[in-house]
Amino acid sequence: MPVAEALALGRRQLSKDRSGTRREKKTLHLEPYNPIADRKSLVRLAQWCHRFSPIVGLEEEQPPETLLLDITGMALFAGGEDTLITQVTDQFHKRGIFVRLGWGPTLGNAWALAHYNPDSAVTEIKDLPVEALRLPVKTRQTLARLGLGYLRDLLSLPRTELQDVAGTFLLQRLDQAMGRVSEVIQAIPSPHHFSVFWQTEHGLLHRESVEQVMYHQAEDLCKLLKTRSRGALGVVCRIQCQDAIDLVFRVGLFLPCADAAHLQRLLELQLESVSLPAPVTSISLYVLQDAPLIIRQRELFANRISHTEQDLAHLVDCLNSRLGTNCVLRVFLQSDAQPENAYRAEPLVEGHATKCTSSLQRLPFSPLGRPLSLFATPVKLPVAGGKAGQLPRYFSCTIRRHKVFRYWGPERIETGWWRRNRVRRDYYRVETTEGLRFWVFCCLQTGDWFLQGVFD
Amino acid sequence: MALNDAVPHGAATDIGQLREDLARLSGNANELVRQSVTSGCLALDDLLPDRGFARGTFVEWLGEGVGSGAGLLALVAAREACREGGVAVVIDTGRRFYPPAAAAWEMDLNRLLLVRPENDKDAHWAVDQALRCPRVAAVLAWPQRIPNRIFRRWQLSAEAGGCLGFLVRPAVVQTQPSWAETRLRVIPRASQGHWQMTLEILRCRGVLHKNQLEIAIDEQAGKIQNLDSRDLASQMAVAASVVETT
Repeated sequence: MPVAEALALGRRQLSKDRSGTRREKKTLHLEPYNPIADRKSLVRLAQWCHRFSPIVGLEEEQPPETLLLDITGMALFAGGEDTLITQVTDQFHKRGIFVRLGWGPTLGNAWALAHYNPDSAVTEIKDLPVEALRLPVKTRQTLARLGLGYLRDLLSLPRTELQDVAGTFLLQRLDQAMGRVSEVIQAIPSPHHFSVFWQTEHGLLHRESVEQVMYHQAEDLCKLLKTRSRGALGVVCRIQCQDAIDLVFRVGLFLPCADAAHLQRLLELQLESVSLPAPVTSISLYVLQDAPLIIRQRELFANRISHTEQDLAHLVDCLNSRLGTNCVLRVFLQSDAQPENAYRAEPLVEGHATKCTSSLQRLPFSPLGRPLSLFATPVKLPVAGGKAGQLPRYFSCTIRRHKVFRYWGPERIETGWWRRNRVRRDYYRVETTEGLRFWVFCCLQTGDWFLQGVFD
Repeated sequence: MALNDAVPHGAATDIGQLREDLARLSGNANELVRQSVTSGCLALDDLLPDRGFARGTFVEWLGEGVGSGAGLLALVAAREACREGGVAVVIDTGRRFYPPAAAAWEMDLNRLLLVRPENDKDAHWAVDQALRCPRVAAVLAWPQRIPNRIFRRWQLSAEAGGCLGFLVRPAVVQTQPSWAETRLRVIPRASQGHWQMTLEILRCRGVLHKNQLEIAIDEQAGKIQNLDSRDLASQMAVAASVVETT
């Protein structure tokens, strides 16, 4: 949906709420369209659907919007076709997803029913519109010009005539929808499930004992991973305590890892931050995300300082575990004139080790053109000794009063109108009589002076 | 025939590496050659006994006031430490580090890890972890208060990891004890030309023949020059080109 359309929809929704009885404030949440992320989440959903069928895939249309499940013979296990359909619907509802289901002898038949007859309002498939045949736009326009709006219109015509009008593809789609020709589902492989579980009748009281069990659990998990040459990128640890809420930790790894000691260290870092509310009765570890393990030949000198990615990955994992993923960042430059938005910081998690290509691009300022310390929120300066709009001769910062010795500027920055937060500023680099350097600006809308950064 | 003559020229570095490995394996760390890294300022390198900063040590930059340029000099030194490989870790508790400025000083952002801990305790721990990592070439931090025990631990971690630690601190901590091998005081000066400052070496290992240095940072290129060695004509040319108001 275009942004303008979404905003208009949001405004309509807000105005409706104001006039109605509900007083609660609603805010419209907008997300940029990201087809890659959409596909990834659909693939994850398809993997989750392996609980209903061993063969799950996505439709061939780009971008895909339909999940395909081969449920041949699966009704026997669920106690009937209707029970299976109810189970599928309920499970999706529990995840907060409302689905439209269609089932039939062939993929084309099921697709048509799911998209154009979800409530079983139409008794026969031939009463569905031609859009249910997954035809290209051009073919649909041709059929519309000829007045062929429904499948029954197509079925009443000789096949040779249909072939002359729209080619063999139309006949193929028609046969698929009528259940005469089957299709192959491009199956998405089921993810490997790596998990270990430990429980005891008498709860563990001491933290050292819990850590010891966790270490053995980590060892078992890593053995499982190594048998398939996989490494964990995300691990969840669930600790059940007697009569208390479960403790759940999530450990993210920078590179695929099957090293029990490293995994144990990361889990311990998480465990250090909490106190055990009651004796521990069970501990389970399961891998949320895994990837092929990077295997290297061992070196002759085992303790030789090796400048490998693995060392850095271990550091990132440790920092992430204790500080949180939002505190360990890599940075990218952005072509935005507003200084606060000239870079983007992203968490370093789960193997996203792509290089930032923009870091060494030609910058539009000299090394002393920008301060090394920048305030995210500019500090308003109490100024003295200057006319309105002119750089003040004196200003106060960090309790000290500074006298301007010389300056460079103004550097005008006008930007951000599309963010509805227009910025109009005149920036100055200022050197004080003590040789200290600051970066200040005058807000052209208000005439106030702000300190944006220091050359520290 | 000496061993070095018997092998191709390209293998000499490998042999050096093997010698270091053998020294490390035998537990005799003193045999290891102290590797030094340029500070990014040739005049300062000439002054320092190791002709730069030795890896596995700490360097404290004490700034005389906010906006003194001490952080810039530390950043330049960190950039030089990463030239031969490794990453720079920036511990930014105040959330003020501005990466575009670092990029303008030719710091490769691909080799920069920005860590923003929530409190001093986490920051101390993060510095320690980063120093221990062999892949990290330099750690840059702005700590205000460092407990003696923590500082000592950092020093041992830096030695173990072979990493250079750069600490940017206010000059008021000058009287406090420190485990840094090199301590430099940065005193900026108002001038008509480039940004001038005095570098005072408060502490370093070895004998100094001079403990003060006048430097200037080029406004456009960002080069750090020794003011004592610049000729008069270039100083006058720079002074004439600067827009000035007082």
